Amino acid sequence: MQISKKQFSVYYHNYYRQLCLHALHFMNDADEAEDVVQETFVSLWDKREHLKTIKSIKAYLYTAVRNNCLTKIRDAKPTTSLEELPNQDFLSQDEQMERAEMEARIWKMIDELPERRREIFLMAKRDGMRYKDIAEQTGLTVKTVENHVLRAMQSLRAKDFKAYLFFFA
Amino acid sequence: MTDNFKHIDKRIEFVTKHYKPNTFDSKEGWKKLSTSIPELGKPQRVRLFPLIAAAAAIAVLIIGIGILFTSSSETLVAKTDNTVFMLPDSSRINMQKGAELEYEKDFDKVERRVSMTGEISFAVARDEEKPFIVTTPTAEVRVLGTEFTVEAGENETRLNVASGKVQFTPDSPAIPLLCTAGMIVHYTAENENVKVTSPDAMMEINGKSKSLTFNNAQLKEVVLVLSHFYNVKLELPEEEATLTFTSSFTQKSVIEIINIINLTLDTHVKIEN
Repeated sequence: MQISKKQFSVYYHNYYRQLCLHALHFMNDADEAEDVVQETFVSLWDKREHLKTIKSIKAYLYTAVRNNCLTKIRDAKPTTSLEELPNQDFLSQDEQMERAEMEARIWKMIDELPERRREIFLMAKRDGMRYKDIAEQTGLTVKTVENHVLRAMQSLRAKDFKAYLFFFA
Repeated sequence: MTDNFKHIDKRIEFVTKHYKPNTFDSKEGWKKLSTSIPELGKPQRVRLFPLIAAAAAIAVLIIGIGILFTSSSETLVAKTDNTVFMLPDSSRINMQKGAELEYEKDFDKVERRVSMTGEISFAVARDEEKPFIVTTPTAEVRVLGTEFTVEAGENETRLNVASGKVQFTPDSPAIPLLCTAGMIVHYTAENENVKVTSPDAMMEINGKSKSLTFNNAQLKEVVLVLSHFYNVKLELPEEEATLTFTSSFTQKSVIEIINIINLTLDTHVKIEN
């Protein structure tokens, strides 16, 4: 099996973000997760002419990213105690893919929030700031801050499952 | 294990905890990757257009023997992938191997019209006065200024919009579809099937089996499709235009479909008298 430059580019653009999120579950750090995914694609490129027949390139990439993460963790700390291994909740690979795809969509939706709303949402939900402190820092009223956070949550939640709700819920 | 991992708020919490702007972006990633794999970065440079050269040679020959013949069109044929070319209006195109593009000599006098087969990406120079029109054997794509890719064979056309807005009209059913960034349209002429996919919605129209499928489609798009498909004028209250609708219909009348929409969404779509 061979992969052309064009196919490679398609795989890269289709799977990049979800693989980053997959890696994030192991690495717990966005920059490290991104590094692992990049390295995985570099090695896919190096092997592109000598791949054994692969049924699903997507499943292959997920497994490769996972293995590369585990290698990294192992090399960083030669003696990892069992408790420190990332908690994978014993998900099957299909479930891990589904989870990463879902999270990739959410990541992109945060990217697409209006800038102001995204800032306020992140202050509240990522940085754990109180509405009152955000209001003080931004010069908005507490009510407005609350509104931004609620609306942001709504758009992150809603888009995801709307498609199935009308007829199947 | 339970389906607990699917819980949306859990996922939102995880993503938010790690979120950083401008990361996990495949475009940025690709730029970085191109520094470690140089072959990815530069498009292979243009060993271009033997056909033009040939055409030019023939033209010279013909003039040489004194017959007045001005070739009224140019044809470009890409011999390799990623053949880059700039059109007279400074729109840029990137042709994949085997793609052909033809345009008239007076290309940008009134409107900018090209016809093509194969796979070509366009970055169209903005010119509100002169629409840029791409015709394929089965459809027409009309734009003002934007980036998109068209793949056209004899029986099908595929459109992928990277930025801006594009109007896509298949030959039959001739429904003008307004497509925005992220949308992919695939039309097969044989069974008169148009499938429109966007990041969060899907729509399929089949002229042969008279069937329509909407998945999370905005009501204004649904209504546009219905009005062209059944050739009726429909009224849609503005505040209901962005509601989304999911269902599929085969051989249903437009009245039945509108009733189902109105019942499902509690909306007020009406046929105009």
